[in-house]
Amino acid sequence: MAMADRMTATTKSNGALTYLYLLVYIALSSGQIFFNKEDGAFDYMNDSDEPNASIAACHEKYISKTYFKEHERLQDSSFQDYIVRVLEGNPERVHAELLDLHHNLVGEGSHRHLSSHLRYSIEPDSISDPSGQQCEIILIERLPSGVFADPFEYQHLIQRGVFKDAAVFGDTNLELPSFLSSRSMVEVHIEVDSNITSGQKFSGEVKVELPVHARYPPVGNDGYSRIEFVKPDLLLRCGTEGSACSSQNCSLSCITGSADPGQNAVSWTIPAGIETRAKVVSAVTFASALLSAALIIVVSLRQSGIGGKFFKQS
Amino acid sequence: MMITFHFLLIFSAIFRVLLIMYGEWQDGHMEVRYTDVDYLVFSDAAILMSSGASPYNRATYRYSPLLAFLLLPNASLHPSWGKFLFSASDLLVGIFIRDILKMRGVSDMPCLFSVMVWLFNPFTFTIGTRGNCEPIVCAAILWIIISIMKGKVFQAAFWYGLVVHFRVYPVIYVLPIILILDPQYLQSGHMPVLTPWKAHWPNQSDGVEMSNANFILSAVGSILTRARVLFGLVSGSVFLGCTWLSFYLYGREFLNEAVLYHLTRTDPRHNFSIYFYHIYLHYENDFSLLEKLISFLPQLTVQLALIFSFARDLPFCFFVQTVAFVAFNKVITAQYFVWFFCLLPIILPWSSMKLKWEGVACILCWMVAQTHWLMWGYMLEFRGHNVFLQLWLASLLFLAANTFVLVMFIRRHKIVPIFQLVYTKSKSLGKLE
Repeated sequence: MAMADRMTATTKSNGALTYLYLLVYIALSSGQIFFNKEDGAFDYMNDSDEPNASIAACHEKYISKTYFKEHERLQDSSFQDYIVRVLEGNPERVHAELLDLHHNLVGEGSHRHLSSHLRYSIEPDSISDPSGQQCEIILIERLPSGVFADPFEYQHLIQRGVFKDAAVFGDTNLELPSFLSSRSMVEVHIEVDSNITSGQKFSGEVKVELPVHARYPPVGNDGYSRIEFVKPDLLLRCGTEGSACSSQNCSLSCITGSADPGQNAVSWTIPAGIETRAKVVSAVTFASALLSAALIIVVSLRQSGIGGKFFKQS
Repeated sequence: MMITFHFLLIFSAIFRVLLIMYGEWQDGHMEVRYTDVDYLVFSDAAILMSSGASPYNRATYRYSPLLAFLLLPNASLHPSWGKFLFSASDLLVGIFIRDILKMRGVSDMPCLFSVMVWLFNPFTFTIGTRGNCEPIVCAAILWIIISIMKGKVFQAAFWYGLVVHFRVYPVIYVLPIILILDPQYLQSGHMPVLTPWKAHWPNQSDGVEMSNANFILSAVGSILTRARVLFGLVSGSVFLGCTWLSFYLYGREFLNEAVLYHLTRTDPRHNFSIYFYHIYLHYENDFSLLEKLISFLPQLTVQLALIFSFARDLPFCFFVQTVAFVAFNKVITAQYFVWFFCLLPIILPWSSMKLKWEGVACILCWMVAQTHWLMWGYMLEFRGHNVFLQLWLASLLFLAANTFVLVMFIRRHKIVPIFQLVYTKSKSLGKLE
């Protein structure tokens, strides 16, 4: 009896100690929140600049961001006008030419990579700082309706050093089907691995693979939905090595050329539900559910003896 | 027995630590991550919370702020804190399983076997080490069962309110808990008397002192008892208190993401549920009230039938309710399976189902149906073939497998009320004197 009393007392004190530990944990964690600064939303894709203009300045982190401040949804024609205005509004001190572009979709199923393999040449017009320019290629993929990019996947790729920088704009909801979602866009920055000095022409190539995912397309009659991609927008941004681009030394130019005019548009065929099956599917689904439910109910009531005169107990 | 159980626990703990370490290595060196995508969501939400921002700024964070709160050390201590917490909860479930079975008088070998069914289940040890939070819910559910078994109504109610705030699904247990808090079992100031386990139950009526129908009628007739009112008030207050605090801190975002989303979720994307294709084919049109009622009817009727049949055998009632709830749900993902995996060990000692060959048949049937579905899911998602019809038929087969397993467990289970009638016991003692 004495041992049982001691065990009961030990159990009670252990229980009290457990609750005390929980209270200490809650207090410490609450303190951590209370004493930390509230610095607003933590957003992987935001930079600290809040541009007031309707076009992006050259030195702003993401060229596309300002477009989405002005427009609710992505439209190809208005975005192309926006890019033209961005280029006109920013100095072009480095001239870039697209020599070749291979744009295609790699992989199978609902998760693929949008591949862009481009060859380019760069020639600076004039350099204010003779120590050399660092350039980056800005690749902007305007994704069609029915395809989305996962911003957190891109964050992981940045951490692994695949891209210098990346952002997803537009509809980033990962779960909705295509008829309930809008288009999105991926902007990726790839460092050009060379110092650019005045008078020297530089050529290079870069291969980029962007992970993209298919949304559920609208139901149809033939079982598949076909989606086409537009060619990516390619920009070159250069600035003085070692310093963040400032408005004085930043140069923005379009990488254009007559590369591969005959290439067909990249397309993606995605499985879709078949509309004509809707009634049969619904009927069989409900019937199966009701049948399974009835079986479970009958067995339960029999086994437990409820409703004895209707079900004989086994 | 104590030495063997402790060895099991230590071995399981070391194994889980090694898995977590391996997971960190795989995340850093391989394209495919070991860590669950959801863990990254929780972790990001915790980092947001630690800087004073809303965890709901993290897309797809659809949980109580309490989860982000528990993972705050992810920001200040180590990003793997959450995995260690979930794996510790996983081990705690093993301890609670042992405690429940020992309290009910189960002998050493069946007890050890049941604990191993949880600790060595591959699904179990991967789910915590990958960063899934379900082990916390499982531990809370088992703690609630232990509290009820000890007659600690206030404690059970407190944790029940908390766990329903954390995860909505335990709301299905409210009715059997209310029914079991019967004055014929719980007398004020006394612990309830647990029905002892027996190795052999030759007679169907052994352990049943009152017919089920009489018990239900009696319980419904005297629904407003002290224990029931206390449970309702305390759990309701805790739930509302947590919900109000979360709403006060994070506003409508909390309500939309953490509560309404789960209550109204109809995901058209393929999952184990038989309803996924029906939802996808009708997603562009709103569902009529009749359609919503018809899809809810099987779930509701099965739950009520199971509750009224098995409420007195509380652990078994929880188990069958959970299996049925998952099987008839509009969305089924693999993590839901752990909700009934944690309850399976506490009912096994009362099952006459032998591993050879009924047990093996149940395991194979369930796993083959699941693998069959996964095969078609792979063809759709990773090979891009239109196999929606085949995938939907596979989900019907999976429902059939779940039904088969559930029916087998019900037929082979020895229904023994968890509590003995105190009133009848004292009457018997009176007669002896």
